[in-house]
Amino acid sequence: MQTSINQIVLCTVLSLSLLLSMIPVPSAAGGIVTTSDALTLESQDPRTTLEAWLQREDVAQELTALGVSPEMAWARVQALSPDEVAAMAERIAEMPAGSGVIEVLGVTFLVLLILHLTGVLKVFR
Amino acid sequence: MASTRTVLLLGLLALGGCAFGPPLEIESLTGAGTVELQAVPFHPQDDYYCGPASLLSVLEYSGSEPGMDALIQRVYLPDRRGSLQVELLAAARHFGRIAYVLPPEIAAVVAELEAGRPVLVLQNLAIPERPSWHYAVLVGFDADRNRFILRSGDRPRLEEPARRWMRQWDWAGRWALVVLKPGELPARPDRDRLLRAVADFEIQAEPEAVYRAWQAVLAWDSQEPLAWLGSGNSHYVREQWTEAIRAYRMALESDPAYLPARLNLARALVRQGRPCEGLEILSAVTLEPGHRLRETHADLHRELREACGDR
Repeated sequence: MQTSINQIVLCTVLSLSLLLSMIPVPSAAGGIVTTSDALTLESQDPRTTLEAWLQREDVAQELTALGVSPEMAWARVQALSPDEVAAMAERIAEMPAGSGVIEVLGVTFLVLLILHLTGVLKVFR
Repeated sequence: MASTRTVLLLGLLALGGCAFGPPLEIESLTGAGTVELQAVPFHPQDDYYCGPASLLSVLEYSGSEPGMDALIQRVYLPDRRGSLQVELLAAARHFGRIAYVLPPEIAAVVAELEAGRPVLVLQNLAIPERPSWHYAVLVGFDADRNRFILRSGDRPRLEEPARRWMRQWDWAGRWALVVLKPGELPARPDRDRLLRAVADFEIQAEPEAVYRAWQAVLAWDSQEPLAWLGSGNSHYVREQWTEAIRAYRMALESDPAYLPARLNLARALVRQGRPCEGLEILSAVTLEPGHRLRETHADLHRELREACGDR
């Protein structure tokens, strides 16, 4: 019994320290305000460091769910600016993913175009 | 009656064919008749890799050569079978280029082509309600024949009627990207977009490259406080305190109320062993309650008071 409590305590301490070690310090350069921070300060939507970190975590998980390896997902998230992370956290599902194999041509396109112009498709949205 | 109208519409569209799109005369936007950047490399897209293939073309033309596999690793989303715009920006920066998103105007795109820079664009190959997203690279235009010239999909040289291309671009939100070497500026800089692009570049770049990027902004506008801040930061991380201090002071000269420069100046003074001067700089302002930098300011102030008191 004693052992298991010790294990729980140890486990909690380890996970917390791991978590803290992963929180990026606002700037690696000894606490100076970066230009990216400076622009974000002017924006309408301030986020705390913790919120920003949680968003990064969310986006990394989202990328993993879409088939990216966990290490690569984290590397990709680290390359994003705070605003880009926020945009992805909020609406990754609606963002266009350019793939470009299906060019709709000829008659099919004309039909689609007419549906678009006459507003028929909007009914189903 | 309705069916007659439909038939008429169909006939008109068949006549106009794929040229359907907003009116656009390239001629009215440029003095150059034809521009074609023939040296822009072409990478045929395999499967759904139009994102990495297009990005590789513009990066290589700009002298950065990450290779196709590295780009796929950075931007491709297997389960979406495509790439997101923000990740193209992040990847361009990762491989040493500033990712500048153009204002959503065709004139800005034409100006970049005239300046000799290929433009990566997002296109919608279907209709707004049922989009089919595609990335391609604009490498020129033929104003006489009113056509754009692209590297697209498996076509190394695709000529598109201007109106048709304009419709595809318009229906994809008019998104266009150029990659800049640190030190280069876009053909017609838009202040907010430029500052955002260079600030985001700072996240992953080497201090030397960051310095060059901000110097170019300062050559364009020597009064821009953010550019002085960025220039100062590029010195700070290299522990060049004197140069950092000078740049932060320039930022404050353009805008005495610019708090980020004030805070960084105080820190640079401490690092140079002048905490009492740093304290003076900080004490010159008092922050309203609720100011976003109030806590940072207060913490630093306390730290400097102690450091100065020890002297």
